[in-house]
Amino acid sequence: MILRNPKKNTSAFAFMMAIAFLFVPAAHALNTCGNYFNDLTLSSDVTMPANNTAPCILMQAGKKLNLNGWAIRCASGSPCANQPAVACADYNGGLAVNSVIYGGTIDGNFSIGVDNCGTVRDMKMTGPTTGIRYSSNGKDYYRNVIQLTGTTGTGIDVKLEDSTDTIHDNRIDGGGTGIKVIGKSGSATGPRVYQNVIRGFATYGLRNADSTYVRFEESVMIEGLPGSTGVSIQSGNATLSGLVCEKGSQCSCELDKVQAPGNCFTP
Amino acid sequence: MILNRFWKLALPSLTAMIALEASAYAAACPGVVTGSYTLTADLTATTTGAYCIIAQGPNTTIDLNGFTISSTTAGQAAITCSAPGITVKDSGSPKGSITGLWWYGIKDCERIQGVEMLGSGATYAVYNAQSRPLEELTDSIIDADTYGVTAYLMGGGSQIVGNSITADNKGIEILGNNNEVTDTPGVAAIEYNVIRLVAYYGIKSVARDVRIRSNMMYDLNLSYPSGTCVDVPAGTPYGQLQCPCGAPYCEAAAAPPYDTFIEPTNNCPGTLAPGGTTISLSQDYDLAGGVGPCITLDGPGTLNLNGHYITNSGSVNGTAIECTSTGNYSATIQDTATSKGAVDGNFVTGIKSCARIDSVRVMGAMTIGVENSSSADEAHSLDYLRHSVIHAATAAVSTRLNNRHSDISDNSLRASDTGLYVASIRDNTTYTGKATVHNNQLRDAHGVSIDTSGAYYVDLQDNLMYRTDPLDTLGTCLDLNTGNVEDRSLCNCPGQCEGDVAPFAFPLLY
Repeated sequence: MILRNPKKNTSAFAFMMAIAFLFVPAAHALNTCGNYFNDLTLSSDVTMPANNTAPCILMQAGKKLNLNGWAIRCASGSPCANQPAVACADYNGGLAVNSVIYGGTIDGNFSIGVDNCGTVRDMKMTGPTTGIRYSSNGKDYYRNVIQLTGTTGTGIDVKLEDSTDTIHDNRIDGGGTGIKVIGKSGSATGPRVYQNVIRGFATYGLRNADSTYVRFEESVMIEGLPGSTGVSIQSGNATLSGLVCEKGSQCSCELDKVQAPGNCFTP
Repeated sequence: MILNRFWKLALPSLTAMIALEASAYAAACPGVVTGSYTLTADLTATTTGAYCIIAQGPNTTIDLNGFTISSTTAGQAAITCSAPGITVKDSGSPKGSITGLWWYGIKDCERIQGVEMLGSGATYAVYNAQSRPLEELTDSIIDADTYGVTAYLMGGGSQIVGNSITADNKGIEILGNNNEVTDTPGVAAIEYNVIRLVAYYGIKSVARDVRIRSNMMYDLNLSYPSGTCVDVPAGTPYGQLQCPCGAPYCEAAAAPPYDTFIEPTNNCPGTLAPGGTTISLSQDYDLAGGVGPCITLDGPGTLNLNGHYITNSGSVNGTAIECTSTGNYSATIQDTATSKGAVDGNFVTGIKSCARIDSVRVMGAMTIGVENSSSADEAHSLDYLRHSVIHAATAAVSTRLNNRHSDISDNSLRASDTGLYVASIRDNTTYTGKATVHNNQLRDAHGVSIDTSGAYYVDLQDNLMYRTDPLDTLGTCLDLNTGNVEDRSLCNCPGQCEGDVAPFAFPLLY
């Protein structure tokens, strides 16, 4: 659950933070852009300065960033379009697949909200071109609300290499593609993408543009722009079930159409 | 085929076509017009590839005013529209026309009213791409060379009605219906057209939201191996087609003279009494402007639409189905067919005072889709509404629930003002718990998507409301009673539903 406004509970919040500092010494509470080598918990908003030439927060591999209900923003009038708000780097033997980013807001026209991190959950992103990207080995992406600007970016654009990897319970508005997945190679059981709601996409709602294995299940695609496609896959290695959309043969249920009970809705 | 004739004329002049911008227009052709334009003289295009009128002003009118647009060589288009909302009409008396050789007669114009295109000169007489779909083609005479009407439709309210179409290959071809990207409820109509001479198709459509009814085809040249009078997706509503292709679409093997064209008549059965059993329909019914109801269901039992349609092709009037049982004898309306029929037409009310509704489609221009508020007894209060698609002009469902076990779930409700209005619960004492409103999707309601403010014991879960209008200051997604419980709604009304909270539980498929 996103702690949306901890300022309303100042004393309780301060107490919890104090306890956190006492018992989790590796978690730092810093509030400026930079590179962080340990787990980090924000204690206020972080604003990326103008003309920053690196991701606002660069987490070293395997570490956790708890936004703790706070936000990462652009400086007033500062374009952030060339940099991610948060990125994870493989370093000193650690792997970014084990990095976790969670619990806050990214607000601004960043190029990417969270880049190269294995798990992203419970985040609200407003304004990035692409919400979440990981082109190597993603893990879990869930309960994020992503509002994109423009019609070219992607809500969640990741490569998932294990059958247990998931993308679920996300809400994505706008952009070119809602969720784009490169799935697992050489396996009949791909990672699972399920129970997402994707709205206002310009090109694709769900997309698997290669022949990898992925399971698209029980997601809703609504209000795609004219000419858009709800679901696009390239091979039968991507399996589809329980998808709901406004128009398109890949969906098992089209909104506004009478369906026999059980075909569309679970009785 | 005239397609070849066109290119024989056009190919030697391809170079000229590429350079058409500067030299395409004969002196009388205005080329680009940005506002409404009324002809005051005949216009003639004299250069291959010419556009005579390029209408660029949104929501403007091109009026032939009794004059003629012609070409002396292969023109590109007599009229082309590059902005939305443009109407092409002819207010002259007598009317003018579009004649001569054109690739397109009228291209990408949303509304065409009372225009005559004569002389078999246009390869595509009327053409609308998906980016500029056709909303209306009415009362026009189209004598095309190859294709009469080739168009994407704008949406549910689109109509091709009352035209005379002559073409070599295809009469009317619907390339698609943009219904899902517009906000127009209902279905598009292809009605009262007369089509002749075609070799491929009289009417062909890939869109499923099109109603094809009361058209006539004759003097056809169905030489194309798969040529046929009607080629539409399964489930497309049709009826009263007079054409020579036989069943299932055509009702007469030989075409009658136009003046004997059969107008719809009221064939509604009136009162049906199932007596506790099930009555399954075996034909469509049309109220044809009568006062209705088309079907009065009297007594307990079930009416199964069985894939058939109940329509009103006349002026707005009456009710499609009304239940008049008394006491606790509840009536059920259902449709068990795989290819569903519908209550679809110009009714005031679709289904009225029926206690149980399951897997039924109600759509069209009716004011209220499902209504259960005229009588406060058990038989006329809503027990359940499930697995149904209810589209109406004003309110999809306006109801009184029967008791705290009543259920409205797994439905698609769509109307311009109110999606679901629950006025009250008739019996709050027999049962404990709350009536359920679960897993519905509501669309286009600019007033209230779900209004249960008058009913205390209601449990709302997993409802999806979209294409509402949060900018309408009077509109809202949820108007709830203090006794209601609500969870996992998804909508675009600030502060009411998703806000910045992810959909932890999933609507529709939960």
